[in-house]
Amino acid sequence: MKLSYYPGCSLHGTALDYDHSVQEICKKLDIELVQIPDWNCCGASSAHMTDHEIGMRLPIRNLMLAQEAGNDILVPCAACFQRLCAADKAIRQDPEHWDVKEYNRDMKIIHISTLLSGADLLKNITALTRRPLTDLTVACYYGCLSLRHPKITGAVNHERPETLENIVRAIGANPVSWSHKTECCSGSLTMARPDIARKLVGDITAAAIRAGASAMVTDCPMCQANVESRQLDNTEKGPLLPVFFASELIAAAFSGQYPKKQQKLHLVSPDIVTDIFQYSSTEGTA
Amino acid sequence: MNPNTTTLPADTHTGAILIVGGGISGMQSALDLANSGFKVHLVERSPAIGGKMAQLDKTFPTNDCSMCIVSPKLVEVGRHKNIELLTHSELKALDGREGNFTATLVQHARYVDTARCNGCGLCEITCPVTCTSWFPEQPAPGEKKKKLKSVEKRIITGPGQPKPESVHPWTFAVDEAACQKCGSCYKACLHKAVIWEKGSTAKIIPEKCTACGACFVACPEKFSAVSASDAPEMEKSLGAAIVARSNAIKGQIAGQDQHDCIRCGLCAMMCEKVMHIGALKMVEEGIEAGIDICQVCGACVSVCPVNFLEISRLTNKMPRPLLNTFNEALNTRKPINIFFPQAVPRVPVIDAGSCVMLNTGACGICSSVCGLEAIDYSHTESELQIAVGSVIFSPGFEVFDAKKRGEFGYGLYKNVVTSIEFERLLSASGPTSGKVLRPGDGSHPKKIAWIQCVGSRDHSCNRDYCSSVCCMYATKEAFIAREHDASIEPTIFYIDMRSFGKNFDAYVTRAKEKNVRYVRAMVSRVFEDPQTGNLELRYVSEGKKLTETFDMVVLSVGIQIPEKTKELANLIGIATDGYGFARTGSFTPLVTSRPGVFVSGAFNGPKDIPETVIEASAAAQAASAGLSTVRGSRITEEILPDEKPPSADDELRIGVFVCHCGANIASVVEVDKVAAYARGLPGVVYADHPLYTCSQDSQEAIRKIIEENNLNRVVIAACSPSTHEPLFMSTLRQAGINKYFFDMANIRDQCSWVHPTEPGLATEKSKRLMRMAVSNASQARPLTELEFAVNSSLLVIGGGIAGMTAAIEAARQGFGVYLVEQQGSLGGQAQSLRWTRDGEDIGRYVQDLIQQVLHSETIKIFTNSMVIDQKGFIGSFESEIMTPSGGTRKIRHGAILVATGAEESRPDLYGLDSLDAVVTQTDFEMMLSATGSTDAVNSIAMLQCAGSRDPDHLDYCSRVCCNQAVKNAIRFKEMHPGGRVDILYRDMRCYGTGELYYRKARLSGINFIRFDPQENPADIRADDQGIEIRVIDPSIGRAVTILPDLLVLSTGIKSRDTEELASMLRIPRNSAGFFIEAHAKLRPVDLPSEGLYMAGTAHAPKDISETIAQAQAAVARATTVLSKKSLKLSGVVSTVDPAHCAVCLTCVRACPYGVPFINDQHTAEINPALCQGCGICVAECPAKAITLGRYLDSNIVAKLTAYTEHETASAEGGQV
Repeated sequence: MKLSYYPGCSLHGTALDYDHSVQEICKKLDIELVQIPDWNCCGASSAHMTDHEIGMRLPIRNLMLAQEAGNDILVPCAACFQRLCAADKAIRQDPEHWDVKEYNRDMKIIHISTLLSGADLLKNITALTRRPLTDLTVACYYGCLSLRHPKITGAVNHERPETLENIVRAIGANPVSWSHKTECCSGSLTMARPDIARKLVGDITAAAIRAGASAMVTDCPMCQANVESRQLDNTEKGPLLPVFFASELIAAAFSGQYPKKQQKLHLVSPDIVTDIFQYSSTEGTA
Repeated sequence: MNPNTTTLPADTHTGAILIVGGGISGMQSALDLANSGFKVHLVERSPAIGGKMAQLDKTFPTNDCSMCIVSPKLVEVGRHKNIELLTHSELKALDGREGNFTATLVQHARYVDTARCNGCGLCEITCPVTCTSWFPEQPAPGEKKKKLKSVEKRIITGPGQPKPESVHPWTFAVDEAACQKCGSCYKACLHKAVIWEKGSTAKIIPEKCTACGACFVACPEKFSAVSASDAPEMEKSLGAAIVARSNAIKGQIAGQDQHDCIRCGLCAMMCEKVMHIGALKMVEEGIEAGIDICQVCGACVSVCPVNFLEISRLTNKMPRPLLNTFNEALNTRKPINIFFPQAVPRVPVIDAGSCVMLNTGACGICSSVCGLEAIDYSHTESELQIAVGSVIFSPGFEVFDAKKRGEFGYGLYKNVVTSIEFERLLSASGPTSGKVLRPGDGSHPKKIAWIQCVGSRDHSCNRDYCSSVCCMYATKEAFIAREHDASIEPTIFYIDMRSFGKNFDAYVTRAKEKNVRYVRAMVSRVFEDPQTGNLELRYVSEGKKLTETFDMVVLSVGIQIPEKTKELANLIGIATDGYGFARTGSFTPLVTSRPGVFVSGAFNGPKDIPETVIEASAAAQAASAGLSTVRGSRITEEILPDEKPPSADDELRIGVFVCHCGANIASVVEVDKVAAYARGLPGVVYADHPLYTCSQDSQEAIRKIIEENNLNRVVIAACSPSTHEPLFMSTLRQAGINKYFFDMANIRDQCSWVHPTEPGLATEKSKRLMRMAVSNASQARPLTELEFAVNSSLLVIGGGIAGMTAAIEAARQGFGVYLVEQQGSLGGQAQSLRWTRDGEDIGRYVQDLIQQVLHSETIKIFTNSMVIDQKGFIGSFESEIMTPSGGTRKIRHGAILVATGAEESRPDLYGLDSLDAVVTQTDFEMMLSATGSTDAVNSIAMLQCAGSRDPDHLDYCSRVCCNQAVKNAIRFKEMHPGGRVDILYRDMRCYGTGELYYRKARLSGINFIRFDPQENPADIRADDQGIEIRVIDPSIGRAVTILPDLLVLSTGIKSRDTEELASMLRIPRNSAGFFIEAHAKLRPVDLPSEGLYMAGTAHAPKDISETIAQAQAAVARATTVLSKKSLKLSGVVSTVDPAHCAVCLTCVRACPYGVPFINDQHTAEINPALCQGCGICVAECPAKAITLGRYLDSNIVAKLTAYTEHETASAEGGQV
């Protein structure tokens, strides 16, 4: 399989490890990723609420660049995924307005979880798993942007998705049944209104803990950052949940190691996973 | 109205009708048609008729038990000689044209012979399978079956070691001749009870044998040298014997706390010898299961008497329990199952996907225990073609799949259920026997929340329409839940409370008084606390964001059309709308795009039961109007022998039959002893105890026995008279005996079923009941059923849309009509209306109707006339009409149809009728149609519920005003795009597809502002200066002032002054002045007096389509009378002895049907044609001047005497 790859700003910044783990596991799964040359910011943070034109033209440029390569696009970041899908819809509805002369409508924009939870890939993931994450109970957390609005994202089960659950089962972990998997983490409001972020994150983690989870898995860099960082603001003493990227855990399951370098990137101690890979003292490839 | 388009002459049409769908709609249509001389073929996809109504617990607004009111219909349809019931069948194709269709039906394989089976249920009870098996691969034809070998084994152990107990032991022995000396039995025996040496035959030591059957299981199939004897039921099959032994052991150790394996061996025997799998083996520690070969059928678990086995431990595959669909998958069933306990036909069906016999050729237990040889595994699907003249398509609905509203957690959170699941939980015959228990942990919930509009009024999942019934059914469920458990606190979260029907608002008010809480807010999300199973709801109320925790949530799911139904409709050419509902015209509400095919019920738009029953009768009328010339052509008349006249010196020759009812009675009552006891009673010359007394061949047998023994009285001790009394009575009649020489003792429903744990006492009680029946029979008198001729004309009172439609349709049915109208012209209230919401011209339609009426040769019109006197009874009425000249005219007719209509309410509010700027909706509609009339009007405000739902004016809802307001508002906006429209409302009651227009109105910029007369009243000032409205708009939370040019009041519908007519015809009226129907749910067009029907707004406010349907329905009901040459009266009627009558008027006042009256001879008189035989007058009459046939004092005394005599007899310790 060959896919165009759109990492987005987050994966080249605070979520650099997400980018690395995605690339690492895709290599092992025989998926060739070709980064879209000269890609630009998709406009997910400020552009789309500042100006509709710029909010669209930014992601549209990326789509046009991808068109040249002709492959489907893989997007790990949920926000980038949302903006690229919106741009795609906009082009289809009114190509003239957006100065698009030709557009191959068969080009798909694929979110990482949708890709990995395909039946064949799940089988391969299980087959390649060297060290299954047995006895790890995780709450799979989706957040908002990769699912809602289904008219934009094409999400199949936007209120009760199952993609991450299927993925973590494939690497031997136990997903819990819980109620807050699509509740908002506060998104970029975490900057302007940390109080709201604290409350929302508090609700999410409380629900995960009540469901018996000892960790969370997500596919959105914003959610990962918010849920870990805002937990630390909580003055009440209670269990803290580390938040892992799905690809991060898959990479560890594949390699049989959970490198210290990766461990240190977490704001909340990832001991629960570290302990599973006790013998991973060597610094493996991140 | 429906011109006959076929080219074939009418008298070659087929006088039979196909009805697709056996729910309440199909059944009502079937009965009306079958009682009007047409042959009916009723096709139902599921194994029994009843539909959704059979699944409901109670019905609104009467809180009647749904099964109680629908099961008489089930029985009537099931035994009607003019209705052919084709259940477990589907329509496959419909060829031909109106008048001459050929319908191709597919009859799915049932594997049970409907003619032989009598529903005793023994097969279902005995079947041990509970799951859909993972069947082993079957050998190709010609190949031999391979023995399954297990490689993955697991030993099941209990808390302690197995405790072998030889309970109800069989005797195992080795047949020396068959024994091949392999030693398998020796190796299998765990108790050293087998003697064997290499090279010699085996022998079982009886003293050591614990009867575990390990040897029996181990002996190879091809040798079968070990036999089992002393095994009850073995003569039927090994499987039956295993089940019998299991039940015997269960009965013996019931109450003991037994959790260890008792090594009865039943599981291993069942698995190896009956299911031919052989996955289980008894070992020292417990049971060894071959988890790879276990087929996961559940049979071993069923027969284990100590619950030692648990299915998921025995297999490496996922168990798939068979779920009971009637109970909405809340409990389980067997592969052979009767759809629900009260099913008609009460014949099981075998589910081919899960039956072991049908998949692997093993088991076969059900067939072995069936005493009537009714099970036939060789059934195949078959096709059937029938000729019919028209078709009624009433397939019903399914509920919205609540998983599509994922935010409510249905399917994930265990304590979130749908409304129909809740009905099953409430039902006494449901999975929890009517206890309100939440599915998650089986606890009693206290706080229950209902969330309305799940899958209705929802554009996001393509369900824009309103399902019409959910507001009422949620209220009912909350109401009834509190009746079951007074600690339940229900809350209903809703948008608008759509209780728009007759007496519906009063019902909601009563519910509020009974502490049902209503919160006008929509729930956005439901969160489950995984530890408690409780549910947190988030909603916004009065501007505040709130969360509240509940123990259970019920989703009020909407009505939708199943995909299969849409396909079928498409196949037979019925045009449907975007949601799958039938497309019908406003003025032809039952007619589809295919001539000759009519629709009714929920498929024709979401509606409740009374509306469905109305449409069903209306569809029956529409379907038969074109076939009136071939009425009776497909009916077979019954030819009866002459009745033997009894003479005074006939000796009593009573025959008694005590029924086994399969195992229903015989498993508790010793029926042979009861029959023997009967033989000894005075007058009894014959007594027997048949296995099934109600079967067809039993009737033949009884007739022969009556003849051979010259019996003149028959007593049957069996089930309830309401089940089979009419059947047995007709058997007597067919044998030439007066049917009132029959009596019944209920020793099932009132004995064996309620005393299963006291067989001795139940037998004594049966003897006593039977003795009472015999004694009663000895006092029986032959009653005659008077027959009298029916006049086939119809009197229609009222010449509006309802009256004219009724007249035209009655004429089409072939009856003469007298149409009496008070006004000078026909047309009624519709003359003030202009167009329907789809823009159809009402005026033109009314004119068209008038022309049809005027040109009919069989309708006699009397305008400016009134009915001033009425005499007679059903089939034979005589009325007097006052004509404009002042003279009177007497007419004779067989039935009366009241269609007197209603009026527009014009309350004295806001200057209506004094200020030009204040008008009613009807005034406004006329303004909109008069060109230029609204040119100067830029802004209008509409006030809903003006003088309605108001204790000072009309205290009820008039149903039509919200839809009418939306219709007119849209029209105004189309005419004045820049104009402003504000509609002030309490609840927008745009039910059904009206919701689509409500949405259209909102999208076109019409404002809807909610007010509340108590909490947030609208302050309206209207005078010469203009109109000013001040109100707080809840959606913005601010006060607004509106200054409209025109104020349009939606004022509602008021009943006419019908006091004189009502009293003359003896029709009761409710407090609002509308006529009261015979039964709110199931007889919405019948008036309580026989032969009187009603239609239109005289019954209750309704729109034009509903009025037309009700008029047709009333004609259908009247046709069941008018189509008959004569009517027979029941013999069980009350008679007054004039000599003792004191004319005290007690009976006149006591009779609930208003039948007794004081005649010209100054005594009370009871018309046998109207008497319902309830006996109240008999009990009330202080002079004992009234007697009721069949219930004379001599009858009652006879029964009481027999009662005490039996007591004496058993006290003396012997039989009489």
